[in-house]
Amino acid sequence: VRVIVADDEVLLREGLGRLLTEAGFEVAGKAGDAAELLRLVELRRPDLVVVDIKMPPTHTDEGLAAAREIGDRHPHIGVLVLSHYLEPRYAMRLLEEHPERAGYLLKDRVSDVAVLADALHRIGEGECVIDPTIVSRLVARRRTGPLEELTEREREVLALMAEGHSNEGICERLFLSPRTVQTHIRQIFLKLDLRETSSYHRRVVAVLTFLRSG
Amino acid sequence: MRARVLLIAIAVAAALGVAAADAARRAPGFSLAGDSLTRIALGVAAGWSLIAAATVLGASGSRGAGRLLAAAGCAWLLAGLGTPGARTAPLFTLGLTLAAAAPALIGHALLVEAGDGMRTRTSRAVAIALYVFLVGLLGVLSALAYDPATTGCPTCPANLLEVTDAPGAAEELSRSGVRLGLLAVAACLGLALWRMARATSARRRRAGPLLVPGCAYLALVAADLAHSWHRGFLGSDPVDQALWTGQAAALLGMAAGVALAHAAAHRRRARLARLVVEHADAARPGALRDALADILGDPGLELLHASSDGWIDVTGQPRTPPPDTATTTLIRNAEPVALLCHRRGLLDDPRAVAEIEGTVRLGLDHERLEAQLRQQLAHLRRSRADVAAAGEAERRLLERDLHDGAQQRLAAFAFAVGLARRRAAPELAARLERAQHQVLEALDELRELAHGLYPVALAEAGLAAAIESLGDRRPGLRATGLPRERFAPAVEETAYYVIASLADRWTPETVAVTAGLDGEHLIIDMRAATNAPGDLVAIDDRVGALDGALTVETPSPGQTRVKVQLPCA
Repeated sequence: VRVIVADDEVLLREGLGRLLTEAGFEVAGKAGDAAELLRLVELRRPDLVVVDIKMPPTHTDEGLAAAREIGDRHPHIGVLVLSHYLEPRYAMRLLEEHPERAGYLLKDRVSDVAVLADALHRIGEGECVIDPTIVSRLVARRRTGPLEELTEREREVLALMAEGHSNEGICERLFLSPRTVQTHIRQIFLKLDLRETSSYHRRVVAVLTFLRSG
Repeated sequence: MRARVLLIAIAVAAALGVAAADAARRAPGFSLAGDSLTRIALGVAAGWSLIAAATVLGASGSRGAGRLLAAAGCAWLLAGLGTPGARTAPLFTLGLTLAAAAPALIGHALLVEAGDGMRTRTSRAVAIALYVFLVGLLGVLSALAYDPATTGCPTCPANLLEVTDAPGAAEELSRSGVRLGLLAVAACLGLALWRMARATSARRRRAGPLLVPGCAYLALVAADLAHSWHRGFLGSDPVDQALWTGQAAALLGMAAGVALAHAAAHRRRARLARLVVEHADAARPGALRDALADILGDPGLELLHASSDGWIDVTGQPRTPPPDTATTTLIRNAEPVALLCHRRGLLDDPRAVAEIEGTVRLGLDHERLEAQLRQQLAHLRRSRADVAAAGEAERRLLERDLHDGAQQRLAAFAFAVGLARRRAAPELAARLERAQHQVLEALDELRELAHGLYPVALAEAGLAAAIESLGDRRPGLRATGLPRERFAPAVEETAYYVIASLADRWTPETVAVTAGLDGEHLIIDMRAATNAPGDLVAIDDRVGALDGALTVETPSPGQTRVKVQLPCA
């Protein structure tokens, strides 16, 4: 699996590169800003991109803008956005603009090679991954709207979906049978009024509803 | 002193009036009033009212014109005594010499009132010509050679000025006096009219009531002198009598004009005085200007106050006089206190300015002090806002430094440890894992510290997003209905500061926050089940820096409600 890394801080860029190699990914290129990243993406066509949210010139949301651009041009390329900020807004914007194969994680979280590898694999499989700290904060928020109707268990399932876990992953974590998890997910879709379409898409919309609910 | 002068004036006027009436009654054939009692009364009334008007004029500041009018009134009454009707020789002689003195004095008075005193050479020359020809030539010189007994008036009292009996010379002198006097009167009339035409509307309004009948009087005098051109002396034929009656009426008109102007000035003063009282009662800023604009009849009038750094308006804002206006500085103790910006020519009269300075003194002081206070308040507010903004900028910079510096380096360090852990022997790996945990905890704390310094959501997404993010960290904070729109950074920062500080202060109580827009204000409403709102000075300071307001209520015991109003237009 080929990955391109983009971060304006050399130390982090190199560190990420080594972590990725260690985790068994092929680092297909390293970029110091969004423009270089986009150029490298066109040139090398990677499977995944790991990008810092704040890069030159304005140090605000260059990473998100680049993710959107990549998603528009190459929907099959997964994007993992790294950030120091615990802001659900950023995660929400990422998923709205890049609804599949996207992830938002705290930068320090990926110092654990296993976490990084897991997140990238899940993104590669088409899921979306949201940082667990953001998810737990959202769970703690008082709910308004359709999410109010979810049961405690259904909310737990939805939170795990937001973190990017597959049905099997959710089974493992909640010690439930696959059938039960399936039922919960169906209930969630029903209560959030999500009709049958592609199941990936429905998962993303459910997570977006969850993110927006704050 | 003034009372004595007044008494003497009344006595002299009364005596002269009585003497003139008496002379007319005794010799109706020689009198300009003829034998009509009404006309006699009219003549006396004209003299008396002129003297009365003169005292009014003198008291209201026109000293020079007042004296001239008083003398003219006396001369007018005395002129009736140059007939056989006069009982004594001195009165007869006075009447003879001052027969044409009244027009000279009135002409002089009109020149004083029409222009700015007698500053021009033309005015002085015309006035001198009036006296020389009408009093000197026609009065005194011709009297020197006049003997009434030999010139058809055997019943006349003696002419005390008679030096020689030379009828031919007397006739010649008198004729020259009539002709040159006519020229002088005509010149005076022309000059007065020209001055009036060129005067500002304010001066015209003020001097008009005196000048219009005065000019009519001079015109009638000129007509009589023209009528006497061939005759060579002042007579009392029916034409003379008719013109004299007209003159008396014109003199009454002058007196009435003076009284009218005086009454108008009095009314204006009364309104100004009332204005001061009203102003002291209800000190609405700008009321003084409105009232002055109303009273002076200039809707565009502006009133600026003196301050240590130039003129300021009533709200304390620095101002410069608008272009195309004239300005009048109001002065107290040699210090300018206020500036009136008005129509050109409105306040050319120094008396009107003095009147304003005198009457609105209290109101002016009151309003100036308020304007200065507002100016200082604005200064204070600006500097407070500057201090707050500088503080925010500093915190923002610190947040960015933390993010770009320490947070990045620690993250890189965490990567390195994470990598080393993978390759280390099991025992070392376990220690490295603990080290990695500590680094991650440090990063968590740093993240919270950075957020506390300056929430990045505030600048990027606004108040509602920042408060949401704050709510994740303060589970007791319940925010509802925060407006999603963006406001000026200072407003957002202050609103955030207010909510964050109160949420901090009231922890662990549940704090309910709502906010909304009310016209041009952002209203923040916070409630908590607490008895103690705590020390709100710092918060009040921040709110005050934006000209906002903070109120604390206790809706029920054990409940506190803080409302903050921030201008956000």
